[in-house]
Amino acid sequence: MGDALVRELMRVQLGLALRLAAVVAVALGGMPLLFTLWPAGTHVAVAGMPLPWLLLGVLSFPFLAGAGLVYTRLAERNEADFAALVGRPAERGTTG
Amino acid sequence: MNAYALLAIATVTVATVAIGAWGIRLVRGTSDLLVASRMVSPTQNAAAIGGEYLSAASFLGVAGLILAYGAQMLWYPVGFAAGYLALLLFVAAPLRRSGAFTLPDFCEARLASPRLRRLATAFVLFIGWFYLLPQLQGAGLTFRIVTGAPSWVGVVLVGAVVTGNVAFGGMRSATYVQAFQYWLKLFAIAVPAFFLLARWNDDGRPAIPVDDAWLAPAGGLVATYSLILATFLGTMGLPHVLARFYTNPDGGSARRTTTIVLGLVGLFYLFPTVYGVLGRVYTPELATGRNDTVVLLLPAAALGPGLAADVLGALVAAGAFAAFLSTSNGLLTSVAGVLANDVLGRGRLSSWGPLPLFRTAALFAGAVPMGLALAVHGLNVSQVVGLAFAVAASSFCPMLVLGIWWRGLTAAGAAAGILAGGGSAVVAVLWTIFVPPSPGLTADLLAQPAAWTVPLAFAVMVSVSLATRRRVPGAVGAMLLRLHAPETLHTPETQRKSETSRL
Repeated sequence: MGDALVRELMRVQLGLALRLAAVVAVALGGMPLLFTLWPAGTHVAVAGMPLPWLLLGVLSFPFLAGAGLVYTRLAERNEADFAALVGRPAERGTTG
Repeated sequence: MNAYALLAIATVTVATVAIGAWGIRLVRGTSDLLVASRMVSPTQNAAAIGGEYLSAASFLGVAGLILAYGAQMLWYPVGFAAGYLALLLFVAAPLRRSGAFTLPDFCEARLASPRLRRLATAFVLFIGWFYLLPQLQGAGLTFRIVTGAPSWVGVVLVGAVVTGNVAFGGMRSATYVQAFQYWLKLFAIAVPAFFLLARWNDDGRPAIPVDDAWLAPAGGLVATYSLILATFLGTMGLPHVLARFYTNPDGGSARRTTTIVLGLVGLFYLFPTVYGVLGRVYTPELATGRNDTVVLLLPAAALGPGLAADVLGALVAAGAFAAFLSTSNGLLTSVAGVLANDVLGRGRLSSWGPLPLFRTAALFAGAVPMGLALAVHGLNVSQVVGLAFAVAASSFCPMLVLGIWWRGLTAAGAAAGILAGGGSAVVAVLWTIFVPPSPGLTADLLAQPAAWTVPLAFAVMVSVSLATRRRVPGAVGAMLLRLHAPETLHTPETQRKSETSRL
């Protein structure tokens, strides 16, 4: 397997991880800043709960699990693409 | 004294020992002991990871902090869960493919430096013991509330059970024990929560006493972001988390396991908030007192004396004990593994053979935190655990992330970064505990050091590596191929290497 191919796989996988990490960092990490700049937002009630409590205490957990599911799917697809590119596992003696 | 609670604690303890004993009969040798022969399915492994991860901090500490300080403390459960996402995105599959069983293993496999390995060993021991301390203290606290006996009884009880279980059962029994304890903990926190909510509803939904500071999701911005950084990045550097990953057969299943863990852990963390919020109504006096007892005391306070309160109180006590037993079990297995391999195994005892060495290490690894827990008092369970996360995030997280994704990392760079970032975090942690500074920005930066120690560790690691770039390991290309290529593409040579672990 060529060095260039491995570099390309790493670049693609790291890009995917960084993009998903950025989405989560903005969505969750933006909250302290948002509610510091918009204190009235802490009193907005949605579904009987104050907004930050609903977002952090309830919705953040399915959000994180969903991000994990999306990442696992896409990372496996990247690996499958890579495997197709370097040849089937049965031929690894000649490509490796 | 609640007789049901005592019975429940006894049952959990006996069940732990019994499942451990069932594991012993299946143990065939050291590789069984340490890695459960890697025959554990993703779901069973995920439940085991969840069981091991949900500690005294999650079961008792989070609810107490929410009761006392409100929404800004929701960052603890959110961060504890998000740590698994960071682990999944940046390290899960490559780490499994590295074949490393412990963090010092990874250091040596990736950077081929015995000195770096020794440094990593010291940090594993510090983080492991620092994390075990609040588990044992939580056990003492719970035992005192349930029985009225002095705290040291609970400390010695949990310490002895876990030490015996690790020394004579090892990792395979731990896998069964941990998976069982995840479901027990979920049941023990969820069922009383529903009864408490029903009670609150029947009482005509009394208003929850709130103020602006309690409702807001950030106290100081610096402290909040520091906590976020520590918990998001600290999980991947905890010694007991990595060992559990090694029980996955390959990188792909390590990823799937982590995804299931995210779901299981997130489900659990929906419930401590219920106790924290309803505690404002039924146990307001705990907000200014021993807030980490709210989960244990709330059922009796809300439901009034009677059978229901006793049974639910027994259930939460059982869940809390499951938390101490399972987290201590995982931590002790890892600490004992590193101690046996990197400290005792290097000395005169190396002729003992792996099994007696591991057992001796387990006895020593258990005795240290027991002694500490008996000597030190009055630390908040969640905060001490938060400090352990800060040290892990400032030492092992940068080493793992750069080691997996950057060719240019050198052993000198990794060591300098771990010393600068992790070392500063250790100093800040000890300073906060022994010489609490007066409130202010300095106190925030010492109590929650991750905001500056994590960037410091990354910066030092990268710059020292660049300065020593001629010492980049020559085999780095082959190593990165092994970390990132799916197992089906590994040549017989790399395959063989990843099967061979340094036990």
